[in-house]
Amino acid sequence: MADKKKKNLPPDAQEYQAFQSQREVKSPILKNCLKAFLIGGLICLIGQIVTTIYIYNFNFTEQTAGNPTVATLIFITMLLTGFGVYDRIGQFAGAGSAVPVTGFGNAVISAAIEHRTEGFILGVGTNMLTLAGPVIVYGVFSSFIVAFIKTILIQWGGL
Amino acid sequence: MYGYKLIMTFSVFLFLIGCANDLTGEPSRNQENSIELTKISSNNSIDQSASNQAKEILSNHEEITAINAVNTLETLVIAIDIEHSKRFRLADIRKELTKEMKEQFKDIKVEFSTDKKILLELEKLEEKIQSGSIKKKKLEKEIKRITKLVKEKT
Repeated sequence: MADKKKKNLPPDAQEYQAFQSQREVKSPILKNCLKAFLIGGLICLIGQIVTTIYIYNFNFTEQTAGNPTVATLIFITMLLTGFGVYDRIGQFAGAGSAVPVTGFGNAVISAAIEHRTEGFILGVGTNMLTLAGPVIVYGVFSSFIVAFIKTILIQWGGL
Repeated sequence: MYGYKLIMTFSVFLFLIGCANDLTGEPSRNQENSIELTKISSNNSIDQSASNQAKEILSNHEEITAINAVNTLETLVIAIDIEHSKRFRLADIRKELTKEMKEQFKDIKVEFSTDKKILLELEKLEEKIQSGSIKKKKLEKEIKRITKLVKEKT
């Protein structure tokens, strides 16, 4: 909680806050970071292997192999989420499994499974992208900002 | 205690990997003839002197580890691979070398690439030319296909 808000609290509540922060179980940040690093790296390794397979066996170059790789990874994650395996990976690795593109697939499918009982249109259809929607919105928004900055730099900055 | 063990295992793991990399990486850098290239003999029915010349020029660059080049009468397609540590400068290196090659071969169309796929395709094509198992028409067709691959963006 921010310090400004804490000052407005009654003294009892402040005392409780201090008491609680002393007793609470500290999350092992370093250990979590290592787990996220290892599993995140493992996911990227799998992605690299898939890319290499596409380059060697199909008519894709390094430039073009990215799209089918992303599609494959998301497809694999969707299957794993459906079978309940990805939840366990997520529990273990945290951000390591959420930040790569596989986290996006997981967010879509887990929301779809959750709202299945509400029907296919109003349940699955409307809620499928509630978690993944922000990813798309801010992905598009930030790429717009970056493109805008690049355009300014190239057009008027002479870069 | 568990966290300590994890960190120790992890650091030992990293340490071992670091060692292994150093041992394999050292000799290839020290040897001068580490560049993978095969010059195609000139008595073939399809003249490959332009690509041989390009290989000669490019082999003077230290950062290059593999070169493949094939040419027809109109087009010269070159693909290179560079040292992994130099890949941060990949775009710059590609730009410089493309310019150099275009200056060297003014009367022929030059396609320059650092893509792994192009390298593989050209290697296959070189082998076919070397063994004489490819006709001129087929070669032109293949070169056209590879040129298209070089230009593909998405």
